[in-house]
Amino acid sequence: MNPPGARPGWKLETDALGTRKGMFRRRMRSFVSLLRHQLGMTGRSLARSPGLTLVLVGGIALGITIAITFTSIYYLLARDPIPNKSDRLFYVQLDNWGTDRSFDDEDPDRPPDQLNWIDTLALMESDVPTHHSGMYKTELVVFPAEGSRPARERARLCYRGFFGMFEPPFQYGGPWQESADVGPEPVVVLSSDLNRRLFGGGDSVGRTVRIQDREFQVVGVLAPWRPIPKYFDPHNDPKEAPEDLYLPFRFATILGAATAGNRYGWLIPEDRSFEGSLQSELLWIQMWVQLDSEEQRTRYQAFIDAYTAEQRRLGRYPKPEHNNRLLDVREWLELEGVVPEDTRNLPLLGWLFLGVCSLNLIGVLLGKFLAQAPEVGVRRVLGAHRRTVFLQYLMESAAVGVAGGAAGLLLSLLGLRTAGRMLGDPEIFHLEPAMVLLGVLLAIGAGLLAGVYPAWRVSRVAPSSYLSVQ
Amino acid sequence: MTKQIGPILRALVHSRGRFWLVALEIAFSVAVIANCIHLTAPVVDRMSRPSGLAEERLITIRADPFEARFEQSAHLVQVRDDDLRRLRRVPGVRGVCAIDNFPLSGEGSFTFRRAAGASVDPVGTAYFRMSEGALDALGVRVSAGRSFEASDFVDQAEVETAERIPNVIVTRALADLIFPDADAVGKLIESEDGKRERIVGIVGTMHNAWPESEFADYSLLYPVRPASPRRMRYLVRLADGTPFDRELSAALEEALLSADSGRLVSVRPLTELKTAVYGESRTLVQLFVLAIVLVLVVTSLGVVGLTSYNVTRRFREIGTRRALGARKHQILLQLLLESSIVCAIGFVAGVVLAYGVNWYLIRSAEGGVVLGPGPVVLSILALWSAALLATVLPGLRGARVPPVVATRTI
Repeated sequence: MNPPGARPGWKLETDALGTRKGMFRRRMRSFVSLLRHQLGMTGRSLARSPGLTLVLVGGIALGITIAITFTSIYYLLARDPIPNKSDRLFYVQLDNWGTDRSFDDEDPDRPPDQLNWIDTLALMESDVPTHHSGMYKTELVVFPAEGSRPARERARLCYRGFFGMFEPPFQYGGPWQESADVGPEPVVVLSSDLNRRLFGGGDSVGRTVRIQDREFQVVGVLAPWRPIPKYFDPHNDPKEAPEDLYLPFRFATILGAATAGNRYGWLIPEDRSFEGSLQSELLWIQMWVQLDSEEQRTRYQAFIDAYTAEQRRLGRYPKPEHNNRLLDVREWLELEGVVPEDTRNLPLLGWLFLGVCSLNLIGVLLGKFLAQAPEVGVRRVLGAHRRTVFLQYLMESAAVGVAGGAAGLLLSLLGLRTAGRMLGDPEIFHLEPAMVLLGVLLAIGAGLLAGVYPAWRVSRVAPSSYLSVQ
Repeated sequence: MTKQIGPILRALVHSRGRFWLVALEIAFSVAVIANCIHLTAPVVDRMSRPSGLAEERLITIRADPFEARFEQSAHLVQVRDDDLRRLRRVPGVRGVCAIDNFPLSGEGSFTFRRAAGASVDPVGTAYFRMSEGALDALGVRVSAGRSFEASDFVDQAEVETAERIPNVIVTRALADLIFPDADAVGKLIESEDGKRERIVGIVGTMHNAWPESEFADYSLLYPVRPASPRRMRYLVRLADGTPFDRELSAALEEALLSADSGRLVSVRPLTELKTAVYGESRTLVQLFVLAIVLVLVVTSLGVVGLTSYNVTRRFREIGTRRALGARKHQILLQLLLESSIVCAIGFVAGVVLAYGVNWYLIRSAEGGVVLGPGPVVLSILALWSAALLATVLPGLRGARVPPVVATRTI
């Protein structure tokens, strides 16, 4: 039996009669009306059993939530934090370690991953890099307005190059001038959060703030900035927020600012105070350089190799060969093992979970669709195509996927905030645009894939078997 | 029972798609649950190791000076001793000590030691400087040798000038690591640059600043009263039964500020630092547990769906069996058996899949461990129980099918 819609030669006829343009319009119109009809059918079908629809949408929403939450946590730590220049920013490693014991037992060739004070100042003399900065974090006492108790704030001592390399967004003002590095001049860049706490937000450029025993002038205020991982200094916790204060590096000695990060060395000085450590082989400083061309890189490598060779002649650097390295951002994060081992397993498990939910969806859809078999039988007898039936049911499952995806993405937002809160800060994990896109694709994909088999089954219903009973 | 399996199997295979779908779903669930348990178990083990400290009773106090007068060593020492006296007088305080770093805080000092004169590689250990009464405050007990005596203690500033070999106490784990074959009490240890110390006592477990690391229980204790112009740290042990509340916190802070107000004081229970240190592990465990629970829920829903579908489809068949004399519980039993068979097929595939996933995880991340039978068995038991439970609800509906339906509408 040929349903009326499938008259042979229909397409030929139209071709002969109308222009191509007219045909297109007519076909579009019929397609749109078909789509509206189909959507109406889908809506009615889903509305008919709201409980079942909730199970369908809820199931896929759960799957998307877990898959996207798990994948996001991994992705945020494993991604390239500064893709436009990650191959031009280099972390500097000098092998100023002793010969008794290696810095890393598992990798004896690995140079230590921080610098000491003497070498940092020497490297900052170079004019090869586009930008460069030695840096470390510390804690400083900041005095708000008269009358209130001071507070301990997290600060980073760095050079102007810090802002040129990592490009933190400025809300007001900008980085300090190069002369401020040399002076050093008492200038400071504040985080958006500290600016709010000290000055109630607003443009505070030009105002002064007392840090320890001196006054500093605000030259810039950052917009909210939360790079994850905190790639320029991931040592203690790659999920840690950046510091709230940025001061010229040379204030280290003036303020007596000991590191708030890791400090270690192969040769422990007698005087372990901060002042003592300035002349020692203790390592606590991170050094970054921006090298824009291969030629620049070669020159800088030659510069540091020449420097360590000279130091060796002067009796420092006990290792016989120099082993200085320039690691780009990705190599550096890989070396530091920024993604915890257990976190690497999250995405696969999340996707398997989505697999369970999708299989469940197939089962429930199959039951739901086949329960409508008598109705489909009648429609088929009345001339509905197999293809029409198939598409209608496929659309229904796609609709379930879309609704589940939307709900799942909202729940992922909640899940990521909750995971962040468990780590002490709800802002740590956010939903990246890439993850939203992935969630939408996964949801539609899961909806369509899960729908194919049930829709196919229901479209194969033999019309005749539902005629005899009636 | 065994006679039933044949017909059941045929009936199940007859239900085509759904039967295999649920079996596959169960297989995926086994893979997820087994691997989640496998990855979580060692983390949970690590988190539940006892710290050896009276951690519930310990309060940490940071008092960081910001006034220049603390640069004078005499003032610093005087304020510190004053602090200790005042803290001790706060009601509810059982013991107080000055310490340079807090255990379980993630922030500490680390050094290397070996047996004096030995040519082996030194082992890494955390170390603490602590004032009188610290062992009692921490809640650790000396299990061999002796505790610190008054004559052992020196001030941090005097250490460099002291001529004698300092007396130290080490944890049992560190003692056994450095002296595997001998009693460590009375023995000398040395740093890499040859400075020697004498072990006078050994304490049991005492976790250092990094309780999750493999060196969590390696600690070296110095009878050295810490004195640093930039950081002053105290540990307060509360008497049993004294709750830590805002009032007590304010009293402790006030005790320090009344000695010298030129400091930033923060008072936090040690458990709070510990919670933060374990934060990452705890979050990970909770994510995995969430995944396990949700997989069980979703899979149970799948089994509910399959059973109610079967009951609906075989309404008349069940009625016929009832009419032929089958009891209600026999119908329910048959449905439970059916679910178990679906599970069994899912389990076989699931074990293969679970090991596949485990193999992939090991390959893609270093430090992976081969999946043991424990998590697999556990996941199977959990899923089976969930599946049986999920069968009972729609199954009871099936069992209630009246025999009379068999005689109608033929």
